Amino acid sequence: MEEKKQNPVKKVLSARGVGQVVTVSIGLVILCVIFNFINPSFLGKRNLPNLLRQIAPWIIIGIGQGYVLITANIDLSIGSVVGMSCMIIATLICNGAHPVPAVLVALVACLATGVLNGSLVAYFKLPPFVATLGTQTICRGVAQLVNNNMNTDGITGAKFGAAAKTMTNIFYYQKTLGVFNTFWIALILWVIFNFILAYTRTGRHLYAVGSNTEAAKLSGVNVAMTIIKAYLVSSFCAFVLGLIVCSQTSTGTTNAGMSYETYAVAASVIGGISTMGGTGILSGVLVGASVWAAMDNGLQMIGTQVGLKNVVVGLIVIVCVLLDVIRRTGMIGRRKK
Amino acid sequence: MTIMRDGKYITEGDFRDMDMSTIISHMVGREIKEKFPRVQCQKGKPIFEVRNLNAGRMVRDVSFTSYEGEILGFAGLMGAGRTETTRAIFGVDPRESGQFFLDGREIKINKPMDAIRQGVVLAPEDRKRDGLCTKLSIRSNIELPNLDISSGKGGVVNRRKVTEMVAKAKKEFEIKMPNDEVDAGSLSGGNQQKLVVSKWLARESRVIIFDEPTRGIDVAAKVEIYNLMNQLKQRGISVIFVSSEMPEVLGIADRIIVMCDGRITGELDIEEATQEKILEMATRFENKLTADQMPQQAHN
Amino acid sequence: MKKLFALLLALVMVLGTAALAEQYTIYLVTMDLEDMHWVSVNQGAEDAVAEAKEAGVDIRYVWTGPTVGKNDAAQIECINNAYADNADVILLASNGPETEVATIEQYDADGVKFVYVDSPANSPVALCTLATDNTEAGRMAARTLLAALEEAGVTEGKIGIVNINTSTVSTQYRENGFREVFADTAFEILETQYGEGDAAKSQEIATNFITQGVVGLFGCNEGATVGTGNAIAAEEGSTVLGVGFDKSDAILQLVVDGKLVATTAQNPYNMGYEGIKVAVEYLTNGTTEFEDVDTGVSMLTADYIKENGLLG
Repeated sequence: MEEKKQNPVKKVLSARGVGQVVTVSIGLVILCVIFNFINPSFLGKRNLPNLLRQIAPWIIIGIGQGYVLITANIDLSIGSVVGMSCMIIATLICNGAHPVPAVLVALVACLATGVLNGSLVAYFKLPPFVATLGTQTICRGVAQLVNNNMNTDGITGAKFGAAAKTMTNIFYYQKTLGVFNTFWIALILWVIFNFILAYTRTGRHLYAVGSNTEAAKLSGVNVAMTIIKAYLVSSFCAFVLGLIVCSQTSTGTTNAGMSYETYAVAASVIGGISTMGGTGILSGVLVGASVWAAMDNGLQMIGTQVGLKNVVVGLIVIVCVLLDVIRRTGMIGRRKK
Repeated sequence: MTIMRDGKYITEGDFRDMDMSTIISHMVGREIKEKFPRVQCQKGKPIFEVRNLNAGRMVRDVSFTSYEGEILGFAGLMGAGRTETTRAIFGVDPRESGQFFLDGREIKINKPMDAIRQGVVLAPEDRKRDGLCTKLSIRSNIELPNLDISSGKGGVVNRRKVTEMVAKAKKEFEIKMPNDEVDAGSLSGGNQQKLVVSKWLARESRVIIFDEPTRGIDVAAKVEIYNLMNQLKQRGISVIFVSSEMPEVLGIADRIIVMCDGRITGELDIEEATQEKILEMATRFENKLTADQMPQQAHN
Repeated sequence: MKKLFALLLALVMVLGTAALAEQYTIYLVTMDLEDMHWVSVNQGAEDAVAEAKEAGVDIRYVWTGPTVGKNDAAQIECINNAYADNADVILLASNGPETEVATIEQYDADGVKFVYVDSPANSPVALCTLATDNTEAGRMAARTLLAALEEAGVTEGKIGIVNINTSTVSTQYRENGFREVFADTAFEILETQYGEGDAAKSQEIATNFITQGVVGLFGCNEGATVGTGNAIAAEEGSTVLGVGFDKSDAILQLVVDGKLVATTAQNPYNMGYEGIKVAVEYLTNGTTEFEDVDTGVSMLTADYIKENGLLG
């Protein structure tokens, strides 16, 4: 059989994972047009930066969950790690620490969680659902214990309150070039982790482990290290979001990040990353996060009833998973030209 | 019965009117003179030696040497410990003792990457689970064990090198694929096996171990695999294979090692090998066999 | 002459309607959208908006709040969205005293005014605060329970508190006020348990307390009170006395049935109603000086409920 010469546009579109991303993007654009038609404030001067800042959190933890999903695992502890990060930073600042060491301590705690998750799954062979459910509970417990089960005071009133205030500005309240810093941070993280996933050895290992773990092992891949790396990325992203939430609320709240892991799964799945592992690209997280935030923001802007957003997004997630399952099992060879 | 080849209809007829060789030649598109093409080669110096390999119950004090210019076959019944031996050599399963020598020098193998780096590679028994990443593209599969060669600073992959690797493999092994982006899982059994071998030959491999090389492969493709093994032998690569199909072992191997209950029970040159001798060696410890190791009557 | 007069009249009418056509956007941001308490706040606000419309002030009114339960980050996003939807005034029931401050001040600087209802934030930029004094309310509830216990001849024993969570300040203040009153008595208050304001969870907690042998219970908000009352009702012939907070039909029924001694009723309707009045006053007349309002509480006993026909 001869290989046909493909024109460059077609080549990009037929690359793995791109199809779903493009489809969902088109859907997103249509949605935004509809929302804006009903309430012109939607794409207005005030809401655009607002919307972008609301997409950012889901991009950030979508990256982490995406990495883990690609290895055919799952991380249910993300939300609790967000809360733990937020509480550690706020508590330390309120007790007189400068933001920088406070942030570093939180970073260490979160990375340790990543290593724990990865080890439980890779070395002790615990099912990822069970392992990360355990760490979910542990980290939420830590988040509560850190300040005796109470929310903290405002960090801007503490000893290094001025530095804390700067931190909240940098990570949440300030804009650069008209767009909130929070969004730029999400974008930068995405660029870095997309590069790793798409262009490096580690990225190839992640996909291989998610596709056929045994085959990856027999191709010389260090499966355990790869899994641990994925969970490390996930916990790191959760750490960053915890820092952002702490900056947003200027305190530590014990229930910060509650249920965030499920939103991270949604952002990944809508964007085409399969829960069965081995497929999907990180651009999917950008679209998935955008859909999630745009639905939340848009449905509220047009005044829809509360429960409706959850129903609609839940349906979208189901449809995306269905599409993925059909693609995996019913139409293998679809990409043959 | 209808015969098809490469997606095209070839011929049809009543099953009773066709004999085996006619069917085969239609399937392949040419006459197969023999089911097991044998190539004579001068047996050269030793390439790979295994000494005192012990890995649990299934691999007990296994020692053997493979030579240049010969195909070494491992025969035995199911549960004899042959697959376990290959996995212990490749560094997949842990071992209690054992030394390996390549071209006379001792080499260390503690994990698959060690073996791969030194040129000792394995095409495993369960192709779809252990041999290929079926959800990934052909390109990704060829690339995967060779990333140490094709990636540069910081682990960044050199795409051009990989493209070259894939093109070379496709040409050399005549793997039938529409393009290198399709899922490896969509290839036929024969092409999958060629893909498995091609990824090892993209680097300088010295010893290739096949565990059940033609399982799940159609008749025509089997011959292609045997030809491939012969080509490797002629290139000076040590070819070792494990097979539970007696005709295959007798047809392709130049020397046969028989295992039973984790131990090597005998070694035969092809000239002196017969089914009876092999079977006797394969069942030597019959009274020590457990229920699931009882001889399979299907072998003939 | 007549033509000129007609033209002038037409001009005045057009200008008049143009002025009337100015639409204000007012948002109400509460802590959640389910609790009867916030529903009442919204009701009061809606009524005030309707009245304002009749008086010629056109208001686009929106009620929003976190849908995931009490969550600070989610509430901040609600405020962000209100701002993005061009709100002129935002009535806010702040989750915590500190968390919303930065957001409030940032938008206040951009011309959006805030009115605190039920729970103020620690920023002075708001027009005013209309709220319950939660600490005093807790004290009142405690005094009512104490009196009821003494009347029943019980002078010592254990008391259980069913609270919401450690992050909600208003219910924390109620507990503080409650504990203050019991501090010098012979009663022992056990470790507070948290039911997230969920009736079922709170009922489990209350049942555990009853098993531990408490003589009195205190539910700190609507969900906790419903759970507490149901727990007492489920124990046949229980002598445990309970007081609660907020008034839903379920709670009023429990009081009338004698399962709860009384419930502390806030005045959420007034918070919403007066809050809108303040907003309208600011928007139409530019007034920025307002007095804070303590919207007060009343202890609703069975007699009180029946006398005032609050149920049915």
